[in-house]
Amino acid sequence: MKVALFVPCFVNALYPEVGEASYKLLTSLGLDVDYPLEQTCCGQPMGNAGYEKDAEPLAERMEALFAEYDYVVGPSASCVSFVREAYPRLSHHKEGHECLSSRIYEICEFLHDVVKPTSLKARFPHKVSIHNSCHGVRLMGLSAPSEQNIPYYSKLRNLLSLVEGVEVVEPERRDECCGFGGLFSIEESAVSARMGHDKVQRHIATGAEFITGADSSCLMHMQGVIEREKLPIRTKHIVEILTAEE
Amino acid sequence: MSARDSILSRLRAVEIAEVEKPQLSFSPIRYENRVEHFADIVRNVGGEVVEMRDSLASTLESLLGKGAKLVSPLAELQEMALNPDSVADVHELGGEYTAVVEGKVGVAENGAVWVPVNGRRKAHLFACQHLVILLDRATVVDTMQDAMARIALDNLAYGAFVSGPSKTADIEQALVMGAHGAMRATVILY
Amino acid sequence: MSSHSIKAKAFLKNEARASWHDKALYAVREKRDKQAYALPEWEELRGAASAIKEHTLSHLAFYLEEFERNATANGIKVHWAETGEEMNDIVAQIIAARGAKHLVKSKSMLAEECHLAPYLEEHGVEVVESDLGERIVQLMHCAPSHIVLPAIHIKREEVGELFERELSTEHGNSDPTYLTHEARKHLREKFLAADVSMTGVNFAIASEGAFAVCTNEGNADMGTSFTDTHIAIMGLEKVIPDMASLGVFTRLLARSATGQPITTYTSIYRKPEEGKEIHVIIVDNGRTKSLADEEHRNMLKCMRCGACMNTCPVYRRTGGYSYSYFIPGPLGINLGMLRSPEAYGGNVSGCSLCYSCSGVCPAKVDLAEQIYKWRQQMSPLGVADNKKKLMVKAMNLLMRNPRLFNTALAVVPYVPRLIYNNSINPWYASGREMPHFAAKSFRVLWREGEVGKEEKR
Repeated sequence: MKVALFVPCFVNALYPEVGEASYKLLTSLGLDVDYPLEQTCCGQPMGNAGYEKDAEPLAERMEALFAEYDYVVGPSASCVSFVREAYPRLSHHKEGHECLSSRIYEICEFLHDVVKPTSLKARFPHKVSIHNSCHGVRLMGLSAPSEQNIPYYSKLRNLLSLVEGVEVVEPERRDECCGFGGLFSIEESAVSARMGHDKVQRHIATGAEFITGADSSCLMHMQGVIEREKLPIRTKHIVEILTAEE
Repeated sequence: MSARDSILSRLRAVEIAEVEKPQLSFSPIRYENRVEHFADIVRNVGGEVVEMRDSLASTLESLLGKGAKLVSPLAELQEMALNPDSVADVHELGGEYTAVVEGKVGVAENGAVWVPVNGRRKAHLFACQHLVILLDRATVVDTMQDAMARIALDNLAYGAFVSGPSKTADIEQALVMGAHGAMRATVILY
Repeated sequence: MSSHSIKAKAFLKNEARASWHDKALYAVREKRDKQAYALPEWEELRGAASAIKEHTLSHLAFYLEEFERNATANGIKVHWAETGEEMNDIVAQIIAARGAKHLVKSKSMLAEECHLAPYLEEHGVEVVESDLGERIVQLMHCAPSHIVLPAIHIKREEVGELFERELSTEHGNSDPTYLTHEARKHLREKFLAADVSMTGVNFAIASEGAFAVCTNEGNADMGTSFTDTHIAIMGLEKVIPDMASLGVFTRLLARSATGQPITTYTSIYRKPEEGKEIHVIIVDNGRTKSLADEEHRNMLKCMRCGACMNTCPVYRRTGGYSYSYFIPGPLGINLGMLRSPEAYGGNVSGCSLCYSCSGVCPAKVDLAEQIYKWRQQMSPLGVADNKKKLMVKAMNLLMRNPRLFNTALAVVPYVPRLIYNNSINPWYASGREMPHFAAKSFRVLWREGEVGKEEKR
């Protein structure tokens, strides 16, 4: 099976280590992983801001770049869920290929549901607090949304259980929004920052050293709060923990 | 065209795919001990539950003491209580007293009791200080869905599901009993 | 900046109050969760409620006529109003025809929507709100800040001062029990002095020609018990088919709204008591237009429980008054847009698209999804924010041109941070450091063969 790595624009620019860890994680499980160059943005920020139509050329490029792959895997739940939800309306995918929306996966979801590893060569002797991101939880189903009366599950927790030495906790209000929300973080900057502050405080209250999750954008937002307030916690994308060798 | 006709004709003009009436095929919760659960919930919502003694009069006396002012449409209390239907002006029911009424269905999931009002007046149900509801334990059902299947509105003017005393939390979410209606609510099970 | 963001920023200046507001409402969300988790069939119940509403909406004329026919047979007088003004007029006429002067009313969002109380007051009618929270905001001359908890934004000390002034309560006493019981006495007098009562309608039961009114305080029933004329107003989406449907909705409403298993009183009015009259006014006021709008038709499934507000992380932290429509939160964003995008477009920014509202809604209204859709309409409707438009244009330019994007990424690590990490940048100004650009992007690392080098070795 041909797997392509989708590295969202801001991960490419700010967190190349997340892309590297994703690659490492996938290849360590015996997968053949490619990275098509010329990736930029999936168009989610435009969509959430109210300009989904503007994402059309981006969707077409994504479709073309990833046309030949069986699976497209990216370390960002919200970007992937945008592709899933919006691309069927947006892109005119090439004949003979299924729309990217049906082949794209967030990396934890891909591991958990498709690859299903029973062990990982990873060790991370730290306490981590899971950041259940809104789109990961409520659009993608990475864990049971707290709003619904369905049995608790967490794909992230299941994957972290394969890591040696890690202690996993979740904050109070386990899936309340961190307040990033794309352009929301600028347009509604006061409430966005306040939500980020509140969220980080709840992660700190767990006693964790790290906040981890499947969405770099939420982690970026919270890291901004942490640095400004000089708080005793750090953010780390889950793929970095799933590949840690401490 | 009247407002009625123009609204209805506009509604009919809306193109909307027909959605069939759902069959409520799921199974609502079943409580192992329905009556006990009912009593627990009545207490949770601020009410009381007591067992009927030898007679209604003695039960009321142990609950309220001697000489409590009673308003009730129940035939067996006509000697001790004012019948709400007998007052000439409903405003006479605006004062302080205990109202005694009969419930027809108890609902375990929420402690509510269906109280149909067959008489002329319902003011006593709300204006009283203390509401006492008689309930046959055999009438307790699990859920509102079960209750709805049991009750018949027939020729009724009014009926209410009553769950505990009147309450409010409008000041800083602090729960206070006795907003407008009964300050105290008791279910007498028999 | 959007109207919501400006007011939100002002509300958040008082950090302690914002925290207090957030906690008070989150506690209601938690009470709701406890109730939802206690019923194994919760999600099926939501599905049933949604399906019943969808069925009813697809047969709305049929059920309204059935309701009218049966209610009329029961002796209820049914009126129809195209608009809020028409409704207000009908109410005023009923009151005037009876020479009445004192109206005691329970909570009705429709009355707020149609500005009924000020209209009646202009016509010389005293309007007394009888729900405690509504009475508090009425005496304060302000609007409700939440549809179920109208005075949730007001502190007990403020209520104490208000009641001392208006009801002559003890100086400095702000105990909620004391204040509630003083209000009880005050409102008891109003109930006994009223000549007309008004209630809303939670559910109009077509098969019975009856309607249900739900309160915790008993205020609706107090009003109708002591007056000879009862006017009930309902939006036309309030009709449901039958008692079995009522069984489903009454299981969901209070659990979702306040985390109670049911409201204290669920009253069913079927016919007027001897010598009395009941009027029901069925109001459109834009609802048939909403029904015709396929993208937003779902809003008519709403049963006004307020759960979407209690769970909304933005509403909880910004208060009801940061929204320009009289209903705040996700519900208000949507209903405001249905009412007037020009007037209420400034609320659409107040959503981080967390989708929690859609998950708590007992009728499965897709509130967040609809906000997303409204955002797509902002520019076509001509109510979009220009600054945001520019930001999107800039992003488009960069992201549609990989060469430009890659060049920018090569340059930006060398740009001094001070240039963008400063208080002109709203991200920074509101309390966050800007992220750090990597010296080499992932793409560069890949091209340089750096990715996976270790493993390959």
